[in-house]
Amino acid sequence: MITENNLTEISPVEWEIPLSFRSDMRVPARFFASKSMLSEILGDRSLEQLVNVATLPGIVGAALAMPDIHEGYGFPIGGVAATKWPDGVISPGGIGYDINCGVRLLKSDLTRMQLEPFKERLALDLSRSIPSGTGQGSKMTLDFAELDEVLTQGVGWALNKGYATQSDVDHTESRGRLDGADPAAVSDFAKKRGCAQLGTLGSGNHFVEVGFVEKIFDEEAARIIGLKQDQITILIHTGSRGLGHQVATDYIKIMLQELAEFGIELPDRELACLPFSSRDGQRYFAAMSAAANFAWANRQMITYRTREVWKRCVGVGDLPLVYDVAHNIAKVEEHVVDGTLTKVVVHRKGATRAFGKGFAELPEEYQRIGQPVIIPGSMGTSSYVLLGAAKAMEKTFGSACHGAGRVMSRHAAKAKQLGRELQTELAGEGIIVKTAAVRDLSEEAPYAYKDVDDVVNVIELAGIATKVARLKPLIVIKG
Amino acid sequence: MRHHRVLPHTADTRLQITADSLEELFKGALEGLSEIVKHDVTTRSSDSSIVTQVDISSSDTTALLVDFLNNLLTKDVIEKVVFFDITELDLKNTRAKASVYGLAADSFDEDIKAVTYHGAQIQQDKDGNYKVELVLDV
Repeated sequence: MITENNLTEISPVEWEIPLSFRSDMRVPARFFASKSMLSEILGDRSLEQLVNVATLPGIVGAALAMPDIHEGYGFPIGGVAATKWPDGVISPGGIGYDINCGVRLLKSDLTRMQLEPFKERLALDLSRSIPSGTGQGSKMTLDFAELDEVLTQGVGWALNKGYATQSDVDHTESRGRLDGADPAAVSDFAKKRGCAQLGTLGSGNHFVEVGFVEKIFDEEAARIIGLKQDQITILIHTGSRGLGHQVATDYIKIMLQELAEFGIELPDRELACLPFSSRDGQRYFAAMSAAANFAWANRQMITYRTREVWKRCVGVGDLPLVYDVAHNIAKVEEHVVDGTLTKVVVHRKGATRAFGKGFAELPEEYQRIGQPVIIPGSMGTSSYVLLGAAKAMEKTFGSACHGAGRVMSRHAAKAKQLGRELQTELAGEGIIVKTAAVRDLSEEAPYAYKDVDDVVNVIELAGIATKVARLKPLIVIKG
Repeated sequence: MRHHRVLPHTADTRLQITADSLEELFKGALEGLSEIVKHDVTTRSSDSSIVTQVDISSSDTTALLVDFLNNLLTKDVIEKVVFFDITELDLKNTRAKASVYGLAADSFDEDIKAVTYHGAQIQQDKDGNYKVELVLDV
């Protein structure tokens, strides 16, 4: 059991569990939080999980966690770990089952007042046009050959088919495609799960949210990004659906069977891993990349449907993409480790890439200000647009938080309030919520999450990212 | 004899199963999982005779249970069937062969991404009863 006595305060928002805490740690465990957040964080097993991550073969720097840290399985959610390329490990548990779960932000030409006459109609049409909820299939079913194209090309597939613009590609992390993707590394089981799920939200905390810019913190950055006070925006949050889940399941099983061969001992099986350079380490990375490409194409297809609905209901503007970020992914990146630029495999599980100014992959306008980081709050509360800052490269392998972070189990949240009551309560605040399963709505109630304002304040105080704008919801289509 | 119950977990769902034999533990785990996927599945009457065969090997018995459940969860999603009733089970330490009955389902009540290995360890008490807790990613 980890207590506050085990923590070393590095700064008012940065804490360390030193290497001496447990003999199997290879690096310290470090996390970002305010003092007032500590009791919640110490209240579950997330820090024990972070210490477990610190034991992974090849891990460098520190096992890191963002202020939205909470208990997951294997890795804590909100966790970041970099392992040395090519012989450090890659761990599917460090990415999660929903590979490239992520979020994107669209911007409109309308203000909150201008949307008002269309609001009810837009909510209804979005809920009917975007498949959401448990087991809801897509409007399209892909054969394996077509699916392989999606797995290889990601958003590029959508561009070729007319579902995306070049600007969409340019404003997506990694331009919506990881090069190493190999459909042959993805099992038939995974492909069968994915072939009827492109363009679907899924369930749980996935959503489409129409909101407005409630506050601007950085006028110049907001101008460059194209955000204005009261402007209508749309957030889309989903991932790789059953295809990604199956890729993780398949490779965790394979890796568990090969641990002994590589002499790897782990404190938790869910940390199953293999050297990145090993045959199945490479195959997993190729399959994970394919699933990541599927997720980007999935968010793009939902974007396409959203634009169709917008045109039908509102008819003004074309909803350009501000940016799309992944928050469950592993990537080969270069970072300074012990003073030397080093190639590492960065695992982000419930963490967002947050690169600062000058990063060549970014669209030209963002190279001047840094990468937009989109932080969705819980249903009914604020979301944020941040910009990656220089300290992220020094402290967190270029990573920030991914959301508010749960503090209450789904079961407990559901027991606290009826879904129908929550829906009525939010309606009273001017927020229309559409869901296929109203009884499950309170699983995602604001009280089940940390205060996103607190989480984002810690990120800013730590110098990892800076605030640009705060968004408030008007319509939520809940998965 | 077998029994299962759902326990709280911050982000996901924890399923606890107790049984007086390993075979019963596997049966109880599948029933528990299936009731989360489709709440009334084990109490519904139906003349359905959808059956699937499972033949799976794993590194140890706990991993075998997790892999067995994940295999059926995948088949649930692909075939739109909730497989919940093990009618034949040949269980060795690291290999399970089974016939499992299921009911067709147009929709599911919960979208379980996977049964995880996190913290899973089949334990046997002094009376010979088995117990395991499984974290489900939902």
